[in-house]
Amino acid sequence: MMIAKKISQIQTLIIDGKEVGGRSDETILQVARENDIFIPTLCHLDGLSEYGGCRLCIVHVKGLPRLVPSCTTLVREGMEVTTNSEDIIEYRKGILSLLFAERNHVCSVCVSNGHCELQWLALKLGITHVEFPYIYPKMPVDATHDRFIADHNRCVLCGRCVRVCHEVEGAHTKDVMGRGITSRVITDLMNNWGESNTCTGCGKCVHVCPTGALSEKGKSVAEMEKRRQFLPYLKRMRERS
Amino acid sequence: MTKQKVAVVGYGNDLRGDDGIGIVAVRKIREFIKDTNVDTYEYHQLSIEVLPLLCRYDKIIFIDCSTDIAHAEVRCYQIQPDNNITLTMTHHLMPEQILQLIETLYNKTPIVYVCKIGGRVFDFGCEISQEVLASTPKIIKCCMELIENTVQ
Amino acid sequence: MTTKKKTKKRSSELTKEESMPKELVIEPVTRIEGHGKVTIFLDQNNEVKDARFAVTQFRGFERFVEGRPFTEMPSIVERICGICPVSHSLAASKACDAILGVRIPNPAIKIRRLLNCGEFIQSHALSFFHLSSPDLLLGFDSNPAERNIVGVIKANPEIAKSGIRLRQIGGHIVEWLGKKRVHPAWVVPGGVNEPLSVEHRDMMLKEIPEALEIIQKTLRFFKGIIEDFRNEIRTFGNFPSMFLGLVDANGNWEITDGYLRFIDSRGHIVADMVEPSRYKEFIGEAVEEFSYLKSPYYKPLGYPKGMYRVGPLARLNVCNGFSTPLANREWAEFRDLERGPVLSSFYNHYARLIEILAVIELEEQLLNDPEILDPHIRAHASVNELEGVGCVEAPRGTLFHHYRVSKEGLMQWANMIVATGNNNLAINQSVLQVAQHYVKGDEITEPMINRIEAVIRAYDPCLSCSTHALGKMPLQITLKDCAGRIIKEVVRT
Repeated sequence: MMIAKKISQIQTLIIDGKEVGGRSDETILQVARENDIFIPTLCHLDGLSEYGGCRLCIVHVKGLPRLVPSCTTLVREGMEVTTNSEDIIEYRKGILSLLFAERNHVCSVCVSNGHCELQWLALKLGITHVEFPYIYPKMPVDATHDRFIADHNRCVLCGRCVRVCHEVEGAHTKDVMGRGITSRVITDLMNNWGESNTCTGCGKCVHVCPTGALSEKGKSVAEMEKRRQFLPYLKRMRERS
Repeated sequence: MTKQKVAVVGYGNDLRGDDGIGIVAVRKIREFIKDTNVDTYEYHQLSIEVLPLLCRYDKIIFIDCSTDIAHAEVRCYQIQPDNNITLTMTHHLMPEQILQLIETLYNKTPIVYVCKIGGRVFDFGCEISQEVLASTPKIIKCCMELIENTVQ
Repeated sequence: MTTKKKTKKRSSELTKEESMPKELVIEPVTRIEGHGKVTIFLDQNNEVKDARFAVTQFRGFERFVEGRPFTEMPSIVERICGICPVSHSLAASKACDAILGVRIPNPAIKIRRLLNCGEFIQSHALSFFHLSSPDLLLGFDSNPAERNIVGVIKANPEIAKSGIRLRQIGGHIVEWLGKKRVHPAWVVPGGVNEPLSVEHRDMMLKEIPEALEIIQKTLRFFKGIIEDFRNEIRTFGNFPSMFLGLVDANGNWEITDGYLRFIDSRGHIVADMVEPSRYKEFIGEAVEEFSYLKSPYYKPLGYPKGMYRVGPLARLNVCNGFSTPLANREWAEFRDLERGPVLSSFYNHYARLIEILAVIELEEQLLNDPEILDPHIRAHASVNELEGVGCVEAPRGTLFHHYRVSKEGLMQWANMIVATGNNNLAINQSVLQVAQHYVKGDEITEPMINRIEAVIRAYDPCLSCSTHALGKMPLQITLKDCAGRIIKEVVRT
């Protein structure tokens, strides 16, 4: 990392009309956040690798034919970025609406009600209703683990649990199987969580989960508050060693 | 002279477009108010349960969305009690009825103003139409004047 | 009132049909669709033969909780009702306690009891002052446009003011404990999730003297006018039946943690100190085709002979007395009305007032107990039992929640018997009684509709609130012949 820092150059670019600077190994999202420019994200989490899966952070870069995810696009000298045009906001709303329509997100009786990133984003983006027809899939709840519950009804497939388990805990218990809307987060080779012999029971996946999909057992409605402070800290400690 | 107590009440359904302007306006007004004799309230609708609370004020200002006046027009005026109360719903009262009931039940005669804003868009959603939103400063100005006229 | 002929028939047919048994249908067409419906059957001589009260709405809570973690139940069931969400969440959390296999800490028991007090004050005040007082103060036959809470305000501002204030006081308890007045997500399996603060305790204590004064004054007033309703007392669900209610270990009135007691129509105790978890041994549930509401009955007597009533009247009938002094005195006076149990459902109004007095006294006791502030409010455990029953008295009567879970804690099956369900057979019986008294021939008259409405309202079933907003139920009354053909239809809007 120290070497990378040395060879990285300072780039200047324009985000939303504002002249800003960033290192060449920084993403548009990082530079925007350093400059207090709001870009919504869901699959991104400080301390995990970028995945570019949720597409909520899409921005427009002048000269590019399509919108690009700001979390995986590095800054370049002279870039002109628009983060919050009407078009982009509409796309984001559409993406978020599809997430709501795809599974059964019943906020009022969810363990994460009031502490949920999906709910917060919907409020922030002003989504008051979903125009797509709901699919109402019949999704199982895996309560086989002693301490945790996986409720696929609330999962948005952001992959944070998969990445934290692989990158930070090193267990790689979680992964994603299937394609498109039939995708599902699985434990080991689609076993019950309680029967997993790779899971260390560390609970990191539960706390990085943005919704009520992963929660601690015994929590009642609106009681599941996630703690994520540990992640950047853990990462820094590892880099140092 | 003791200071008069003032209540500013914004009401409406903030999930139905322009109907939420009362709530939005009262939240803005709250930021301006320094006087401890002025209280602000938000209600979804005016129910009978607000009476014991509002009867304690000398002046009440209701902020509401209305379909009777032009889009985004702001109109402030004092109201008189309405004697001919015919209820449409037990949990939905008009400011005139509130005044009437406060007089009947609590022998108080507060000065009551209504600040109306003409609304047009009542679709599901938190978004208030541009025109109505643009009239917010005017609503705040009206209400602040009404408040300050008392709190001297 | 508009009258229209639904089906065109030749006059020759009509004469033939008129001699056949007929069916009168009174269907409230309210904002909550398909909620309640009354059908009155006439025989060939235009005498009332039978009457049915049916709930035509199916909500299926028992089905859609299947597969959910049981810990979500207290909050899910709150959505059953916007009037008594607290009762449902209390019953649910008690069923969950049983699944955890824990005895919840004392402070939590007390806070839950306090919450139930708030619920009773709020709900009973709504029932008496907002919904029933228009009938009681203005008369059953007064102008429907005036027969509402505003009419009461004009006629008797004192009473109206009392009702508004009392409802506010009850609402405060629920709001200050649960942070929300309508759906507080606060009662949890194993206890509650936040202790009571000193500040809120003091605010509640401060309101008690006023609440006591209001309810005692209202009781005096009501006892003063009760004689005016001799006719209604005689005909409003006045028949022998069994009664069910919770009692405490001493046989006294109890609403939160108690034992089941059944008495027969003469007041003899037939089952006592029954743990609510054994309810299935005593209560059977019959299903009728015409209604989504099941008809529970006392098992040893069979269906439909085992009809019993629950609610304020039943609770006052089954108990040995109250453990608080003021309510106990009122109870003694109340029980003097009749030799055995008080039978007329009209007296539910009276019983409700005595219960408000009792819960205010109980509230004061609880708040003055230092343990109520103790922060030890929750027991933690995993699934220890695969089945659990929770039972409380809701304002409208005994409420049962019965759950079965997998060993991981996912809901497998749920059964709920709500107060209106417990009263189902009795409401049917009461409608029949009123109909027999007020229905004359195949005429559908205003006084008849008013009284059928009012007798249903005496049980304060949930649909009463939605139907009394206008001072009258929007009704559709249909007269049918035995073949189900409509002869006459009256729509009151």
